[in-house]
Amino acid sequence: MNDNTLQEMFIDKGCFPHQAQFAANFFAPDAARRHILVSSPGMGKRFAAAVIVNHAMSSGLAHRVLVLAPAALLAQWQEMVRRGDQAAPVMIVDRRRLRELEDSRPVGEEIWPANAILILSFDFAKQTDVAGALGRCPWDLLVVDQVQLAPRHSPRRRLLFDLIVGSSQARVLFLRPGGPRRMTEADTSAELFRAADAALTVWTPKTLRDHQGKSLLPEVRMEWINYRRQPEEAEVLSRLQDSLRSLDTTNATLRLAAATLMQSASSSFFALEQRLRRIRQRRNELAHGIGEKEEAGPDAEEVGMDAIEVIDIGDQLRRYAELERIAEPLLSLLEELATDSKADALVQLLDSSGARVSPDRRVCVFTRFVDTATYLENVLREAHPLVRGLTGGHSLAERERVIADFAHTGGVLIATEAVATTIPEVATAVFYDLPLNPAVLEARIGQFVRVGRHGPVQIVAFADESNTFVIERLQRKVAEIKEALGEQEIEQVLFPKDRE
Amino acid sequence: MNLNKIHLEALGADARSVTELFHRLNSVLPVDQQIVSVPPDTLCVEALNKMKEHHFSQLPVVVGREVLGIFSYRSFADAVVTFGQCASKNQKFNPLELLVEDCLERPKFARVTDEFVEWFDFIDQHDAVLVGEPNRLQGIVTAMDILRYLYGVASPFVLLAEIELALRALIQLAVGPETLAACAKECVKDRPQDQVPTRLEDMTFNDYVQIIGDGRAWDHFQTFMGGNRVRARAKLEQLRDLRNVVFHFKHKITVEEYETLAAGREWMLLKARAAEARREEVRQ
Repeated sequence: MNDNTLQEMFIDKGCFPHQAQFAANFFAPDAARRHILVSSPGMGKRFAAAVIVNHAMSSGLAHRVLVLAPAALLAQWQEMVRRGDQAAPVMIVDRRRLRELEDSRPVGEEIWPANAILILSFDFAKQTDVAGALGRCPWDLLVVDQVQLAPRHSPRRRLLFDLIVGSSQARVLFLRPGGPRRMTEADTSAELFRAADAALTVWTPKTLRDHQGKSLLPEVRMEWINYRRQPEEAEVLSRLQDSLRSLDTTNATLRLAAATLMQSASSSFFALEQRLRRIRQRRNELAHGIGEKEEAGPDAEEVGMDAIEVIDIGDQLRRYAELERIAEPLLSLLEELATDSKADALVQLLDSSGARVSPDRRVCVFTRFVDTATYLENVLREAHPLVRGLTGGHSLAERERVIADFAHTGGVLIATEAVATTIPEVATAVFYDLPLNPAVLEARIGQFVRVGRHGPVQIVAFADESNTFVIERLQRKVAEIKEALGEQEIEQVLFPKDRE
Repeated sequence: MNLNKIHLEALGADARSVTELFHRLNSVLPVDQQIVSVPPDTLCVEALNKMKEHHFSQLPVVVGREVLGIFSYRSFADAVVTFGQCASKNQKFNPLELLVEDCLERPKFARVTDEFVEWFDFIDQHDAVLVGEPNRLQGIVTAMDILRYLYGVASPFVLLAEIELALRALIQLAVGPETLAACAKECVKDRPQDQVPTRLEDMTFNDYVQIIGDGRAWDHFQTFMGGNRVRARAKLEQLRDLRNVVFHFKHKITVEEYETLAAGREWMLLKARAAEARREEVRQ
């Protein structure tokens, strides 16, 4: 099959021209065996990768495919592969599944099925025995999603090197977000790219144009809604800020927990209250050996700090014991708090946006926190007839139903980033809370700025004029300059006593 | 007929095998278990120190990937008695010189696919069972692992029972039967008027949420539920949704969802204590 026929076939499978071209190049007879695809959010790199995986399997070019991705993306990967081919032999492998695979094979035989697409989380795959078993198996196709999450000298990076060396004949596809700014020599993945001797493809809004030379992505307009917190609200946030600064913030996990707590508070008082209430419970569970181990990766990424790969139970216990100390007085304050200026500002915004009167004026309110989503559903339901919530807790079928209803009848959709579902085109996307990491912010914007949409897309965020909460100043700065702040700069502002 | 397709559709997105839905040893075995073992030429005193350090009652004795046996407090005690009885005046016996290979118990292996109930008696006698095969040890299941697993399975139900019963009690404290019936008529919106329940025992959790969270009835409940009505209703709605997840087995409850339930239970307990204190005040 020549390149043009392949491209046409990929377009028939739902690819945009740039995706089809990349997929066709990937399989071209004279193409490099290893590819790195760097793309701004919203350009469909994961979809293109899933199409490549399905084609490799269905055409017999690959029998064993390994996909490595962050844990939060595993279900999305499985779903995307199945969408392309309902009968695809795709399987998420965790510890329990691995034990069953071992149990089904005589000792000494290859444990990985001979014809399968196996999806593993980075954190599981890097464990010594799993990495060993993966390294011993010859893979036909290796896909690594979010390869930037394998920093230099980390166990994840070692795993990738071992896999590339162990499966030297494999086709390899690395995916990473980012635009040209991040593809510099200083890029943390550059060393890996060189070692893999891979062909680099970069998709940015500037490099990708349709056949008329127009941008494939809609224009984005960011707007700030100013509001002023009531004195009693400001008091809660100031007390929280002071309490967190009194913690032992020389401890990395505690510093991260404190920053995450501030992030919850800047989202909503409800999210703060629920998080504080969970702290005591979590501490008890850990103390009695009931709680499950936690990963710090997503939180660290959200607040722009370095990920902490392993958190031992002792460290977790110390952290929760310290946090529990500050939780009690704050919960008492929250119990008495009757106002919520930010939620009031949202209600006003929706009233003026026309979401209530026209099904075409679809509005999506986006938050990182399930608690905030539940709370906002309650706040808005009294004023707006069509309010729907969508969180990672919904099943796939429920998500599809909610999205279809939203697309059909309009209204307000309150979604968390965990939904991992394409949200229909909206008139306004409200970012109820903002991350401290520009990559996370770009990914959120990418949920709405998709190839093929018309736009412009209006993104709205909130700014408290009272300037009470220092983390919100940082969030705003990141959103305005769309560049990363240094970890030191973030910590200097959040925990100034460390620098005294 | 495409059996693969039927299988996938029947099980939804997370297509696991049907037997995995049953409680098997694989479910009980902790996912992050690190196996601590000793080679056979280890001094018993070193092995005992290792067991003390990790709070274990026994250790597998391993060479390469081959499990030779189990060293335990019991096997050590047996060996001390046996060697002690064989010792003579000329050949003194020093237990500190014993090696773990002198004190081995023969291991028995379970499979990850075994139902853990089948191993209850064995674990009762031996405190643990090895999982896997002699040359492929996959893990060790202890009585505590089973207890933790069953606690994990049962505790959401226990928490929900506490929450629901406490909520009913608070409603009874807040309003009498007639006021409750009037509130229900006014606030319960998702049923035809003639089917709205008026007695507490006939109401569902969703009815409670609609009544308490409604602005028109809030005056009755504010004293007991406190704070901000919308936040109180949001908490109750979270609990209602989790109740549906748990009782209808929609999906395995996540760590965060479990913590939300536990936090909801703590919040309800706080409200119950405050209500009892108020009642006591009134009595006095």
